Amino acid sequence: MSLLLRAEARKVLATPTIWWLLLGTSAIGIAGTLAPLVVADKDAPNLLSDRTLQEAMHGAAAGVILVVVVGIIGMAGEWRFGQAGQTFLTTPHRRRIVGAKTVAYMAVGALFGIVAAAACTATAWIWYRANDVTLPLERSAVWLTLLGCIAVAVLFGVLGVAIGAMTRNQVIAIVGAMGWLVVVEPILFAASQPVFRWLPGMASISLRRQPADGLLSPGIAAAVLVGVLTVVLGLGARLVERDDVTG
Amino acid sequence: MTKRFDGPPVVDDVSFEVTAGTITGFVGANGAGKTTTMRMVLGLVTPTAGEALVSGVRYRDLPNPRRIVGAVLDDPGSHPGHTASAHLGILAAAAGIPRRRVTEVLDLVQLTEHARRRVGGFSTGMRQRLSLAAALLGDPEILVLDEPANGLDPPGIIWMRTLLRNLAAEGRAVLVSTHQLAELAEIAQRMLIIDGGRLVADTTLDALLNGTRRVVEMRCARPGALAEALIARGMSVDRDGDLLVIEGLSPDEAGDIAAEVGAGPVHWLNKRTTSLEDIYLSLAGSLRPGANGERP
Repeated sequence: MSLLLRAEARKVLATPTIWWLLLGTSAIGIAGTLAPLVVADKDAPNLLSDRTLQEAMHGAAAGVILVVVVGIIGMAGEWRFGQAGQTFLTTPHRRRIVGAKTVAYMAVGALFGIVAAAACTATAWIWYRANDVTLPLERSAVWLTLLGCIAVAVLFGVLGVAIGAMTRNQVIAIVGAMGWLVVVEPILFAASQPVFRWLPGMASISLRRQPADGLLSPGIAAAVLVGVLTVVLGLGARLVERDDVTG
Repeated sequence: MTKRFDGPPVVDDVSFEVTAGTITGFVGANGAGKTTTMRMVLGLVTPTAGEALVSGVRYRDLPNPRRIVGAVLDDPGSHPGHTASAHLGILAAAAGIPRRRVTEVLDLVQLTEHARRRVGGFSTGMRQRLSLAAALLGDPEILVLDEPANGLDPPGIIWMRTLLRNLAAEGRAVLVSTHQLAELAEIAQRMLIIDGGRLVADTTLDALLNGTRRVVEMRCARPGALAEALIARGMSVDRDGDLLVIEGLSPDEAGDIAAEVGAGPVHWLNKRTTSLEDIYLSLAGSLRPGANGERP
């Protein structure tokens, strides 16, 4: 497994698109942090309220959907450029590849989450200082929200690998995942919160502590996400193992 | 092995062995089943029936496959944004092959000066060389090469021919598919011909070339008289003006009969040589004019 992880690390390091997406995730995260602060009242009591802190800091995960894209590129990209054949010639037991990618893209997700969290924290700190307030990093509303954002990034890295394994088509996987998480789930949630709060995208919003009504508790949301990922990843690994590599 | 996707078998009850120290040519038209057969050997496609064994075990059961089998597929299988060096480095890392081997194989396929270039900018010939470098990465004893000379320029083809000869001379088993039959005739000791998913020939190149019908072409003073005499003796004769094409005789025998029946003098006598292309077309039924509506 360590050889496969090393190979995956080399692939990530050698793929420029992933680093552009890291930049994009951080930029969207900064925008997601600044947006609620710009419209918030600038007085200290409001800036230091749990809700304002959460609204600002959960912005770190605003661009985290790009981590799903990274995971999809890592898995489905194997088929896009014919890499799958070479990869499976080296490692014919294909589930090992899926396993290695899962671990590798958890790490990549963690990196994206940490970088985005750091960028957002710095942005918020500067904003608060500009308004003569010190960002209370010791408050749970700050660090728990940031931890939640990093956790979502880690899980979304796995989600990308799982979707990529299921579809093995990069374009379909990216369009499908983006459409589902950005459009379909919010519409369904708006239609019926008690039913559709169990969906993975909505669960991720709870985990990253976005202030909103009707969401699951973060603990249950994490369990839901892990459960969904386990099922999708298991199905994807089975398909990867079973299907012929013809191109 | 047999393989069906949807509909009739793409590979139909194909069975053969490839031995060490030889180059085995694998010939067939597009869609004949060559690539599917090779991918079944490599564990990328699962046979519907039968199995392929490499060194006595299935490919997936080999302890470190890249050190035992090297394969060229129809593409290097590299991300276009990766450099040649990075691509091989990734494969080497996964197989536990030392990094210095990447430098060695890049040198072997004459891509050293392009090592830092992105594969997306490579020509077809350079991509083929990179594929071969990947195949040689583990210094394998078996090579499975699907159209390795595709896109190579004439010097590249000569280089490839020499390389394959050297690899076989080192004791490696080489299975190589190609459309370039003349090239194969130069290097292969053994030939497999597949047509419509079925193996129609599995023999040595010598047996293939020597086992064909004898054909003699002759021009003489009285071709009509000679044709009548030959037909009377049960020979097959085609006449095109004063040219007779006679099957089943050597030039000496044909000349003797011409003298015997007074058809001489003989103006021209030629033993028609049979090329690998001729043999291939005679064996590959689906390529004969009129067969399946296709033409050669």
